Amino acid sequence: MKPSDKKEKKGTSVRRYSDHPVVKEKLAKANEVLEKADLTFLKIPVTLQSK
Amino acid sequence: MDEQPYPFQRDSVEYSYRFESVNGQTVVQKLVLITATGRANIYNLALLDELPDGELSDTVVTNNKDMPTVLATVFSIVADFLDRFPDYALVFRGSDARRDRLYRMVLGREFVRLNQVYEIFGFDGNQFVLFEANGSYQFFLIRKRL
Repeated sequence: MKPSDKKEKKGTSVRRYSDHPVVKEKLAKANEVLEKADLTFLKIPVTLQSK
Repeated sequence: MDEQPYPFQRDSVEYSYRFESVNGQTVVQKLVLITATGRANIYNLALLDELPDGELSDTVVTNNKDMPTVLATVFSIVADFLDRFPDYALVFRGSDARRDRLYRMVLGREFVRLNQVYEIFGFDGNQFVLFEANGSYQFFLIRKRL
């Protein structure tokens, strides 16, 4: 069984993908950006762009 | 997006979705995983291949010649997630420069339609700015219009 698998009560194996190193690495990159970014713009709905 | 997406399944354990990319006899298991970031209501989206040995990869090139269908499916999943959680935003990026260009190209092509329902931003290295088709971005952020 992979480390990221977890046993449920009746012996069913349920895989939790969020524990996988690839996923953790991708999440770390996102957090790196989100930590330094000013996110106040999310509180302000933007008007429709005309592109 | 005019391509018909693949049918997908939601996982009840975490915010994950799976579908199969099919080309003749070749079937590739695809996984879209949506994970909470350190910022409230912002989730990271990752598109991964589940390899035959169970490993996950975001770099393998499957050459299944169905990228438009795969992207249409991913977008259906984004729409499903944001319909369920309209206060959340999703961030994502390609795993390499080629995939980044592909995402930017598709977002640019579909922008007029997407922009009616979603707000799309790109992170330019310093800040998130409104998405422009010719922009260069390290990350994309999409959320439903409030």
